[in-house]
Amino acid sequence: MGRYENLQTEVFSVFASTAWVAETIKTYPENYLAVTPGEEFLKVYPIPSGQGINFNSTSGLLIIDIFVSAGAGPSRVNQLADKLDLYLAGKSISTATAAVCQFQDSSLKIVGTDKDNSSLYRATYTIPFNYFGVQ
Amino acid sequence: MSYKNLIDSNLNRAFNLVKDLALDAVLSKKSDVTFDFAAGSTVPDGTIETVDVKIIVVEVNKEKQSSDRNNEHKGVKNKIMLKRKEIGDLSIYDSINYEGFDWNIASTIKSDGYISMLEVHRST
Repeated sequence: MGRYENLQTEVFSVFASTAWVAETIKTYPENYLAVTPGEEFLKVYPIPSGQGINFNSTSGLLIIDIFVSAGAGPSRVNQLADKLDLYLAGKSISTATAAVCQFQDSSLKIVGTDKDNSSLYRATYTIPFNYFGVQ
Repeated sequence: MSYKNLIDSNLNRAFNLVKDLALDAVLSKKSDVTFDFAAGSTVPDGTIETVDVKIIVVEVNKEKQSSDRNNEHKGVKNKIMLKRKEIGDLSIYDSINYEGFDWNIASTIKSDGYISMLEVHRST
């Protein structure tokens, strides 16, 4: 596998972990359409748009859209963002030999009512990462 | 007879009256497709249900071959009309076969309680 697929494996390993699954927070990747996503879910988009230290490395942003029920106040968005911080902020993840994905500090931007489904309220959690692979 | 049944029976009659304009098709419905983060791919939880349906092709659109990189992927698409009662709820993971080709369901253009109009793109 190349660096982009390896990066995906590292990022997805967080959401495949038994600890995250036990949180029972519906989580979907990009280019997947849940038939009944429900009124609270996350969408995960790794964007490896930056440079790495070698040809097997990369860097970029992990963007996670947080969808909650519209009209329920801001608390649930913040709870979910804090939950994501527990798994990601400042963490180093390594499922493959001699490769590691290091996450930095996160930020949260409130988007507001979702334009495609006004029963949902949306915020965007963003965290920069560096993925180091051995050349 | 209720109005709902009356409409459904007249719809069946209409599909019979157009004779060979109504084509036989097989709709393949994948039940409850989920995403497995460990495998990094989708997983159909249930079986693939096949449903025999009648369709009417209302628009055929064969895109010209083009060197324009924004258009070169468009291929062949049709707009088809089906009876809503026969197909139920659809998802992007469902497909339909008619005239010997498989077609991906790209979008539902319009759907009332009785008739659905779908845009389908040929995949084979």
